[in-house]
Amino acid sequence: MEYLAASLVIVSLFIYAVLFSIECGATIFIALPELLGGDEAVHRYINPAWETTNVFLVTALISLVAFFPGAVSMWGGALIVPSFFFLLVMGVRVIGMLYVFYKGGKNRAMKWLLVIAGLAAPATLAGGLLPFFLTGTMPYGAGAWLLAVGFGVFAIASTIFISSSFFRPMERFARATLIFFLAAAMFLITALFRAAPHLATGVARALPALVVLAVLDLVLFFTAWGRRQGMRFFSAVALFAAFFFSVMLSQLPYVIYPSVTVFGAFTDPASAQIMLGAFGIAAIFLVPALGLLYYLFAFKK
Amino acid sequence: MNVVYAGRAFMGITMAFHIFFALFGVGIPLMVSLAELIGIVKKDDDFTAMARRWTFAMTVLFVAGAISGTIISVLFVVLLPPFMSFISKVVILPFSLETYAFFLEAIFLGIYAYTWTRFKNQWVHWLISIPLIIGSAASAFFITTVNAFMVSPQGFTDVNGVISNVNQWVAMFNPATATKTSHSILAYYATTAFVFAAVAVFSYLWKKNVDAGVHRYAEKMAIFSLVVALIFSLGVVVTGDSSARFIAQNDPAQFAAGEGVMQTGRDVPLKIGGIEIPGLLSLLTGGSRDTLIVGLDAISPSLWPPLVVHEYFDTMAGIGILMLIVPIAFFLLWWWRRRRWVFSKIMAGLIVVTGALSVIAVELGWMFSEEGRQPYTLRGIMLTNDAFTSSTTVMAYAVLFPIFYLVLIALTAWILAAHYKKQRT
Repeated sequence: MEYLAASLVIVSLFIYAVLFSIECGATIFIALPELLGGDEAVHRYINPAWETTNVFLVTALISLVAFFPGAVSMWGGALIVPSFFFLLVMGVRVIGMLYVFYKGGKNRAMKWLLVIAGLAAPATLAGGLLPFFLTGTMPYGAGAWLLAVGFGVFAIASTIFISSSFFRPMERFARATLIFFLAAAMFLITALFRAAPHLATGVARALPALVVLAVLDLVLFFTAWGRRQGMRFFSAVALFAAFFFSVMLSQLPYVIYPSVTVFGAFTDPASAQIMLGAFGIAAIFLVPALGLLYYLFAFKK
Repeated sequence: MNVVYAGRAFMGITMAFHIFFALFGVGIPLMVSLAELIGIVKKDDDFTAMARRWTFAMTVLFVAGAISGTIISVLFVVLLPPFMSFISKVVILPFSLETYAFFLEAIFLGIYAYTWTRFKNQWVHWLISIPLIIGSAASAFFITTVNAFMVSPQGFTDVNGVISNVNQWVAMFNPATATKTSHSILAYYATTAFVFAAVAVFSYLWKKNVDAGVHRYAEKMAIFSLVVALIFSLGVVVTGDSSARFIAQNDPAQFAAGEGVMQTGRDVPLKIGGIEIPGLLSLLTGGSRDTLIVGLDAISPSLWPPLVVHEYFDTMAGIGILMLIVPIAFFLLWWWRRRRWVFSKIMAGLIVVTGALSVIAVELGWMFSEEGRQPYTLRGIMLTNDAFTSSTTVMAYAVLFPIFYLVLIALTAWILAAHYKKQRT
């Protein structure tokens, strides 16, 4: 049950990361219209309808609090400053987004605000918050700072990588963004082995899952890359998934290394059952509804 | 200024900002849905146009409400770790349910707003508004149960800080849940309807030579909104009464401070503004002038809430009564066929003022609820002083957030004003 709850948090976070990449990408690309070559489709993604994306983040956050109450007092108190930074960047993003949604992307200052916020939001979220869970130190020491930079750069790289594979006009940058993504991933892996060596033992445990992911990636990559737009997006997401889940699965069973594990922090079994049940029932309604929303927007003109 | 004070101010400002948008997030879907329904049933294009035009306001305000909600959910964890640590063990289920309900709202808001022209059968589009209404009301309901829990905590055993025997359902459906949730949600509907009525009459109040079509549209919008406002204001007054009785029974300190009762006794007068009506408070509370009311003299001053809550309570209750009287007066004049008076400047002015005041009443209601619970965050269990983080970094960053809130309010106001100016009413 502990792992089921943990996977709920991780999967919500993963979906958020992918959708948020597309959103941030949209706000970055409309600021650089010469890249788009007059393609207006990107504008559709700057729209209040995409507010659902944020709900995935809130779901991840609330699930983390709900299923692992034993960890709350620790990370809650420690993460004030990075959380404030992230929230402010998100606030700036919302202001820019509402402005561009209404007035269009003509105002220079607003456009650049959106570009900066679009890059800073994923970077502060990943770089600011994740190192604490991996090292358990606050304020950050040298190791955690290395991780912060690693995650920050990786978040920016994957945002650009995923979103440019999603938007058709960005196709010409496919190779460049892929190289940037792989370089950032290598840098992150090096940082992880230096600053969070406990992940190495975790990787061994998560190996079967990772092998499956890697095989899937290879298959997708060789069959799909450079062919159809949709497939290219999926193979980019799969590549990102391999890195994302490697880190997350290797971190288990720790919530906060080295003091808090999913077992130690877990809520009482009765509450856990009720909440998993509630999630199950909610999913019956939400999954088809989400499917309908994305079908109406992304795939149907 | 100490850290707890700064933290409370930060949280309070964020809550006030959030409730301003959240109340419309709950209220507008119902108004939009009702207007679309009337448009379909009566084949009246004015109502269909109304629903469609309001949808724009709904989406813009929704974005602001959503970001403020996200901010609050993070603030709970980073600003109040001891409080959240307790809540996460005992009554976190409503948070999860709220997230799912909000999910439903967000999904169907997107679908509703952008499928106006997609269905040949208008009923299909109208049906999409139903999950939207359910989602918004349910998310308000679930999150308010946590607030009710803070007033009457139950559903767990606490032995020297060790929590056991948790039953989240019992914690969620505590004695305060019924009055808290019904009173606040009905108030959001009444307030939204009143603000819409105010916007409608505002559009022709000071203008000469208003186009006949626009005038007809505005009149319909005003009358429709006032009907909705009247119905829900009745509900607000009734639930407000039971809410006050509940507080009288369960939290004498808050009741005494709210009503300004200093001395315990029978035949206690009701104090409104500077006026005292003999025996009325006893009569309202227990049905007879003989009812005993506990005064602040019976309670240790260390457990008194700030006494300003009396002013909050009076102002809120006063506005609530006004929200009932104004539509009643409007429809009585209508019934007597005094059309000249119904759409007179005085009546219109009253509606506009009450519309603005109704938003303030919602804010005051929450301020009464929150400050009235002091010095506790969890009544009888956790003092506010113990609920906050001890980190001193709070204050420096907290200053930036109110600036962001003001910018966002100004931006949404500007977008809405510019949009509706361009497109008439």
